[in-house]
Amino acid sequence: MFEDKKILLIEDSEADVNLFKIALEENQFSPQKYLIDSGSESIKYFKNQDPNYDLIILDINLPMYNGYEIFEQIKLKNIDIQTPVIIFTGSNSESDKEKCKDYGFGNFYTKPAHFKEYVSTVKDCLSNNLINQ
Amino acid sequence: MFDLFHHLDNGIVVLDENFIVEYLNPVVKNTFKQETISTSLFNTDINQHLKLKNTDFEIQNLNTPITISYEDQSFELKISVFDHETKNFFLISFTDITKYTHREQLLEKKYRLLEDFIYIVSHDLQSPLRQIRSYLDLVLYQFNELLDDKSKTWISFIDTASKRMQNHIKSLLIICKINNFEDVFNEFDFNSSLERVTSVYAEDIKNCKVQIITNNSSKIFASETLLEILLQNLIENAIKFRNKNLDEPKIEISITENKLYWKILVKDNGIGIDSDKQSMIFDRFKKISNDASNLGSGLGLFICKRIVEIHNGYINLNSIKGEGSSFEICLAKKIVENQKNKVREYV
Repeated sequence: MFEDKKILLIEDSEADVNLFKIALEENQFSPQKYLIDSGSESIKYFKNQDPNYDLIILDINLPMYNGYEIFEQIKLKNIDIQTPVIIFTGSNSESDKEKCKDYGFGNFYTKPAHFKEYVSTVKDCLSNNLINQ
Repeated sequence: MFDLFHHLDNGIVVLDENFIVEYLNPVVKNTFKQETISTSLFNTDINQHLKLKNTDFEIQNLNTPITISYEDQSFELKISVFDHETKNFFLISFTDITKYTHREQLLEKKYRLLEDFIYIVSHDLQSPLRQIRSYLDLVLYQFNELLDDKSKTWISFIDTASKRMQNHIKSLLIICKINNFEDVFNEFDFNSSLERVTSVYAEDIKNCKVQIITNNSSKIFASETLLEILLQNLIENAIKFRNKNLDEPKIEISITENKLYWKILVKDNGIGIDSDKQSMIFDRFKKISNDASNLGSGLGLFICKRIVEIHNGYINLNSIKGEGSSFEICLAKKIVENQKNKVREYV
């Protein structure tokens, strides 16, 4: 049901990218349909290829700029993002959840500890953010 | 009669019962401007602590030193009262604590840095642990048929150890949060808070068939965040140490209040605690259960104790082995909280 959707995943950890990929495959999502970036080039993707993505999944703790800083920069450049952006992070802290709300992100997902939950979390975030479009 | 104070290193001021200055020693004269002494200094800072009641003076916080700032200097004031020839006098002594205040600020700053360090390290440790557990799970998920029982047992050991470490880190983070405590105290409904906490354990409560009994609620003035952490720890313990032979393990939670404090009672019919171990359960890292399935960090009740201390209260345990445990928590209504002077314990 997600066949024609495209995802931009901004995530620096190879281990997490791999888990994400497998979780997508478990959800019958074609591996060709997403792009992965560690965050340093993200602004470029937002600017040039935004219309090509149906969902942007953003980690908070990234090496160059964190997820919030990436968003700050986008705001500074007056880039209008229509694509839903969700936060997918290892953090479970209330302050990060609050911040996510303040920035107007669609949803906040904490990376789970079990792979099975990973599959269902990924499915959940795809459903909430793609099907309702 | 005040010549005695003339050569003291401390500043001395004597006021009569109408707050008229009777005597100033040279230290006060050299430190403060005359107009400050007669007006703002006493009228604002000291008068607040003196109250005229009938003809007698009632002094509030007599033993508590008052700290005042004056032109980049800090002074500690102590007030005492004495009578002379049927008249009452106030004796105010000033000690220059400027250098101590600077040291305290420096210490505070270093302490904050250290706590930030723990916080960041704990956060950074959580992520790889989560990945370890996810990949163990992935191995079981994708290669389940290829693994023999021994491999599965070993994997479960790694998972249990990781889970335990996760719990340790979680507890460390909570302790950092408590010590860095800047949350406001506010009035809220006790049972609403309790409901939020029990909803977190809804699945455990259902699976373990635990019956949670709550009685009358009350408005309570406390830190909502900390109270919820306290209730979480106590409920989690009560579920963990329930009597598995009983059809209906019970946790009874009630709140009562009087003029001075709120009393919260968390009572269970669980396995209880040996009398010789009861005195140590609030100590850090004390785990009185040797059960290998207990993944706790041994910090839960230590956290409870710290939370209660922040509320100027106490926590007591009454327990009979085999019959159950009851935790009694008293939270003072008058919170004389001075976060800056709070003695902090480093973990």
